[in-house]
Amino acid sequence: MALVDSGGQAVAECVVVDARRHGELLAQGIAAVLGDAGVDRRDLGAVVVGLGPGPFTGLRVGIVTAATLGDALCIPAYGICSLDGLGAGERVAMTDARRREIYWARYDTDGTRVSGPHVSKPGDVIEQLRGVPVVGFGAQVHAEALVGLDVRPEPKYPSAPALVERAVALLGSVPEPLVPMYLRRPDAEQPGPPKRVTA
Amino acid sequence: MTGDEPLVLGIETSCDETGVGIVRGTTLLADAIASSVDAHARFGGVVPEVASRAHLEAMVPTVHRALETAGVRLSDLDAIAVTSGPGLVGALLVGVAAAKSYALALDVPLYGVNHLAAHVAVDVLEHGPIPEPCIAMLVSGGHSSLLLVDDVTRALQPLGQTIDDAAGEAFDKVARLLGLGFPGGPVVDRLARDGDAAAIAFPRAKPKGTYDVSFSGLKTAVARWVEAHEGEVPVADVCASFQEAVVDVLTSKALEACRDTGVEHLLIGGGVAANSRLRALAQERCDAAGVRLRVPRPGLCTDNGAMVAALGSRLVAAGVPASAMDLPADSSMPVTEVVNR
Ligand SMILES: Nc1ncnc2c1ncn2[C@@H]1O[C@H](COP(=O)(O)OP(=O)(O)OP(=O)(O)O)[C@@H](O)[C@H]1O
Repeated sequence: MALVDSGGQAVAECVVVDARRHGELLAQGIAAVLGDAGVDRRDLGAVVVGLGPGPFTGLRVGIVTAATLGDALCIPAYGICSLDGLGAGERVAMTDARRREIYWARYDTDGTRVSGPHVSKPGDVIEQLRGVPVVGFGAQVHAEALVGLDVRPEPKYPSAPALVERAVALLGSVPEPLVPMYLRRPDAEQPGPPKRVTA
Repeated sequence: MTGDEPLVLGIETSCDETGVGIVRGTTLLADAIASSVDAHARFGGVVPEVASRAHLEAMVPTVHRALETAGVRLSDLDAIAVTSGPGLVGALLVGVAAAKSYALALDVPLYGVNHLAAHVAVDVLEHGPIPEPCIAMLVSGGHSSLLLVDDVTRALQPLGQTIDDAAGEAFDKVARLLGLGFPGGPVVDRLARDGDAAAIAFPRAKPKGTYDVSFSGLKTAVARWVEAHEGEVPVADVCASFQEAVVDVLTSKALEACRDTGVEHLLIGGGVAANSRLRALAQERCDAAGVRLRVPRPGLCTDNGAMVAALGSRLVAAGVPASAMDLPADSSMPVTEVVNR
């Protein structure tokens, strides 16, 4: 999470790369960032949140936190595709989707997203990704399946200041509803008929 | 805040209902619910990811429905309470994150509370102060617990619980094998009214020397009986006989606990407390034993936000310290812990 002033300068930032503890640490991180910067929560002008794609639980914690913070402080909450905050300029931004899949999106030279976000098996999309710089930890996790691509070591993760930068253009507009980019359906099996208990 | 009449908003997301309640002192002002039960029906049970997605969508709108009904503003609130466990962890996390964010933004204390304690505390809204000590029987799709309550703001002492299926789960499973859909409790209850509870002698596990109960053998016995039956299954009789076995076991154990502990009050809560036969038999047996029975109205028995707000309000009034901002969602929070710190 990051606090960014009206000049677009990040004044405080706090990063925790631990998907499992998102839920516990996010609110505390927000309080810490505000405290470090000496900013009163009531002086915030907007909240920006990554809408994913990403692990579902962490995604929901982020979105519900942004939505309720905006609600309670009477300020707008803007959602941005999380991959938009990963790198800049022409690139493919890629994160690990687990289950041997990647989340990815493609951006043109002025940084506009032209494809995605998608969830794919690396092998299914490798051909269309050739010749473009690939950023994000997802490319490193799936390096073996992506041999031959122009994978850059940095940046690895979407950053909060970068998300805010993307949101600057939205400031002042009426925010769109915060709809998470799950890209996958819930895992759920329809049950078969009840099992027999007698042979 | 006026004296011990704090205005508290309670959030409940432990399973498939997004509940937001608002309580002033011991007065219920609003109880807004959004349920995803229809989305789970075709799966025959609650699908955690489906529930979590629904909680996220429903959270802010449900809070606002509650505020409107109560005629208060967020800035009027004295505290936020939220179920922090037990329950489905991904579902709990949505409510916990929302509660933290509201508490942070409004600069009010946050209470992460035990879902079971909230099921007990809710009766304060309907019948006044919880009689203490009391025996509480909580029976729902996820729980069948017998508890000794000395002080609902401090600790609940577990006396017994189910060793396999929860009571509501047994209703749901039997309904499923009879092809009655999900959730099963309400349909079985309705059909049982036209059935003969003595038609089939299903087994009743009432082991001596323990307050634990078991429903898995009963469920299997119902399945066997239905499979072995030739011709059309007398659904009403099966429902009535099965239901009788469940409520007999539950009320026997509850009254045994009252007798052994000398406690004169029994409180029943949880979704199964909506069961008409359970209410009737419990009343009959309590009357015979000189025990006073309290059961909140069905809408307050099933999961809701009002129960969380009710407990939160009691905690504020009792001066119990609030939870910290790193409050976790604890899917297996023990009943001995009323507030998570
Ligand atoms: N009239 C009834 N008779 C019997 N069982 C009922 C009746 N009404 C509801 N139930 C059962 O209650 C359960 C639902 O309870 P509740 O709303 O408390 O939700 P839950 O998610 O199971 O609760 P918890 O999270 O407290 O375990 C279901 O199993 C349902 O079949």
